[in-house]
Amino acid sequence: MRAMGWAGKSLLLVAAATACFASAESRLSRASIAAMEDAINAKFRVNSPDPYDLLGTARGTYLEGYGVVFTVELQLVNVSPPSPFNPKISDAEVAQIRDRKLRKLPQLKEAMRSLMATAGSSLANLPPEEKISMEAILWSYSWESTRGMPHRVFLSVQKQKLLEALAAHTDPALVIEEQER
Amino acid sequence: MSTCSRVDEIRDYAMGEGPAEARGAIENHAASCEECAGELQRMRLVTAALRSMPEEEVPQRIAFVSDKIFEPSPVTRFFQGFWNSTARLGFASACLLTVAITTFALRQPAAAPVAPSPAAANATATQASYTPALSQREIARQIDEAVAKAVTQVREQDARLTKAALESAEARHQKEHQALMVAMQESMTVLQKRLSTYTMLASNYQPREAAGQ
Repeated sequence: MRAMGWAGKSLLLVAAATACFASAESRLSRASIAAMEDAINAKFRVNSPDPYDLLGTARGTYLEGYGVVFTVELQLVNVSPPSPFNPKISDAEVAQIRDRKLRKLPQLKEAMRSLMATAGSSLANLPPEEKISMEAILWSYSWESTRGMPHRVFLSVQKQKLLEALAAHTDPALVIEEQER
Repeated sequence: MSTCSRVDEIRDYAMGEGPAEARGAIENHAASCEECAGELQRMRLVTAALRSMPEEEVPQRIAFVSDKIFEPSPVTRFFQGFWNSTARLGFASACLLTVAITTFALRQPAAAPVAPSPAAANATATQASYTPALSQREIARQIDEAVAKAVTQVREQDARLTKAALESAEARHQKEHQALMVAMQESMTVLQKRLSTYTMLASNYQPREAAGQ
């Protein structure tokens, strides 16, 4: 035992550390998650007559044994907040903003489902039994009317179910679980 | 002055006098004589006017003022003497006026009792408490005190109202200011989020040429 000396011990430690890091390495590469984040940012930055207001870029995280989770923060519509030159937002304007947001909500869900379908195809290293989840955090001002409006929209689906639905050309909405909070 | 010699015959004819056989000759002459024709016309007018007057009977006897029949009765003499005397008429008018005033005063209906208003009650009380012994200076002093008291009350009430209005306006302003500050803070938060987002996107941006390499 004494013959191993310091060199042997050091080699043993290096081998153990290498084994530990190798077991902790993610199955899903950071590059594939970043590509999906870019796709989400591009989707919500698109110029349209009624664009989203992207307030936080997409963030993706892989959780071993669960799957991948993407989060993004946005405002459903662009809103001009009160200012010293326009300190009071009228009740009619508040109601109008709420109506616009309620009309935009289904479009957001449809966009999220489309992105999840893209993720199911692009994240090849994600095990089929794990999930693809996406959460949109909806920003709203304190003076807005949020009656009937969710603060978060969370969609989740098992990758295998999603791929099966896409292969069968069925609507992904049938397999994607949806939660509003 | 008539020049025709038959003017008298014309007048008799007009009055219906003269012989009947001569009336034809007179009518022929009046037709040829202008003067007699004018006289005949005037006479006819006169006779027509006389005939239109009513007939009056001639009095059968002549009476004198001194006759008993013209002597007035005692009642007539009293009234004649009454109406012809200014002093009596004046006295009678004064008596009638006095009787009328007295009758009106006695027959005046009693007024319904009316509750006196506070101001009237105060005025009455003031009048009741008024004594001629109060000097002019004392009255002026009392008036000055009352006016000063009233002015003080009005000023205190105005001060209270002004203070309440100011407090209400201040509270409303404070509330609006607070709401505006919250809104501004939220706007700043949103701007910071946008700035962070754009910074992140810009840092991840790769030109097409670089991305293709």
